[in-house]
Amino acid sequence: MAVLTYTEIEALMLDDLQANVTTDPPVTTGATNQAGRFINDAYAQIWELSGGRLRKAPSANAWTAAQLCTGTVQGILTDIGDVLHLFGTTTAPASIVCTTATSVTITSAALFGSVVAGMHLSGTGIPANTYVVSKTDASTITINQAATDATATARTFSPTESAIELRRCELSEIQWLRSNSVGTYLTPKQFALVSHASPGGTDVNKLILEYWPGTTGYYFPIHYTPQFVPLDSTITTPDANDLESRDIGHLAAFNLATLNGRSELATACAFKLSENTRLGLDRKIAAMLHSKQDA
Amino acid sequence: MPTLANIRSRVQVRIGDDDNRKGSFGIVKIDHAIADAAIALGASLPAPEVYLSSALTIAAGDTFTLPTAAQTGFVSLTQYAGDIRIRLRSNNIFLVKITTEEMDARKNGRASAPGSVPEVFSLWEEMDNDVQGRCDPPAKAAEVCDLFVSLQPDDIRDADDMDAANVRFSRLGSLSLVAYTSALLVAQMDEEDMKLRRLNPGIVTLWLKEAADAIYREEVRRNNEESVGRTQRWVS
Repeated sequence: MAVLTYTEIEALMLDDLQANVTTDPPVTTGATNQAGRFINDAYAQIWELSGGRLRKAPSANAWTAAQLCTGTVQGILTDIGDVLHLFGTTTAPASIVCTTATSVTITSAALFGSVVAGMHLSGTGIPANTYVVSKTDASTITINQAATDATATARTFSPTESAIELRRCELSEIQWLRSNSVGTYLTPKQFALVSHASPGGTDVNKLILEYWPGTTGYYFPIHYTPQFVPLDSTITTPDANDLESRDIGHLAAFNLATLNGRSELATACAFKLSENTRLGLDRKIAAMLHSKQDA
Repeated sequence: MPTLANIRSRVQVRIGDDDNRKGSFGIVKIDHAIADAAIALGASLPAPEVYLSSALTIAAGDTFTLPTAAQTGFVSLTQYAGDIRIRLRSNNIFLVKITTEEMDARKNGRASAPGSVPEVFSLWEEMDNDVQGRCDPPAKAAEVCDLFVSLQPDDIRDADDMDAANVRFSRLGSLSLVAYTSALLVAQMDEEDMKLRRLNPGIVTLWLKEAADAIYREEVRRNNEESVGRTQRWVS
């Protein structure tokens, strides 16, 4: 089963409401209209339960000149929901001359020696969020999405993980470690993330990374889950799995049924929700009613 | 010799603390537990011996101080264990160790001892861990000496890079260190932590026994290594 796109989710919702009609539909269809708002509300609820999918960001995309910092790094990304893993590496991004061919295959003059699967790739003709999927040999690699041009030029390969994973802790623990003698390490061990006030709104959602020990020369690639991004005319596929994408339609129909004067359909809509989503919503309602997370 | 990072990994595997997002202890806490355990277990083994060539100079006269600078590994201050032997480089003779009282007796009544080549020495340690010595007869000229000494176990926390610091234990000693540290850390866990890591509290006793067995076997190994057979061989 594949993940449903917006149009399919909308059709599913209207089917559930027995209102998949062109004449006098109960809501105006389209991602930026009334139907889209209900579907995005449902998507947000599903997102809350699923938490989104892992994204990998090289250090240069996530932080400002991390390799020059001595314990405090300014964040760049504004879409981080939660950082799941933060790595420390001294491997700098490598600029390698390579040739694209409007495909997922890239070649070079045996220059891919330092390239490993999982590395982030950026540069001319390389779409955002492109990664090395596999390396055939030092001359040929495969990436996760086709390049948009066929040129030979230098592109940047950056690590997205390393053998050193830092342990997340409270900022107060970092402060304690900084002010007390606990032995000497030459590699960063722990980190805390701080979300700071943003005068003028220019730094909204940006994080500050505090790490210990404040060894300089380290890059910090991250794995993170993003914040919720609603569907619209350009983003038409939800960041969810197959069942969750169906649940979006059923849940939107469940919400709409009563408002639409067809509350008798609500039970059928709820029945179609996947077990994971149903349990998650049950827990959420129980928590709201009883103030207990494990109710 | 394993590094501290290696011992730490083995401890983390044992106690199921191998998830950075759900760790019971930070690296700092585990490393400190290992460092303390290494000193405690190291003290139950014969002290490590080192040979320090030309490490001591007895100036003309009858007093000297054993070197305090780092002599080996990452110890910031040399801390001596019991065995201290001094050999003059001028004649390859080992000085004979005597007690402070014997030294007092030798020097009693001699207003100004004649300078010669030292033959005996006595030691005492001051509050700041400096080991002071006297020799007799007093040295007429400066005498450069070799030292054969035993040292207290190293403190890993003195290393310039704790990750890479060698834990000066053999394979058996390392096993004891891992088991002992793991037991101490599990004993600090609450029920939820143990449940998360699928640990039974009874494992603490087992690991302590394993640690004791391993350190005993290490002691046997060291004794076998240094043994020369039955002592009565000289008289039978």
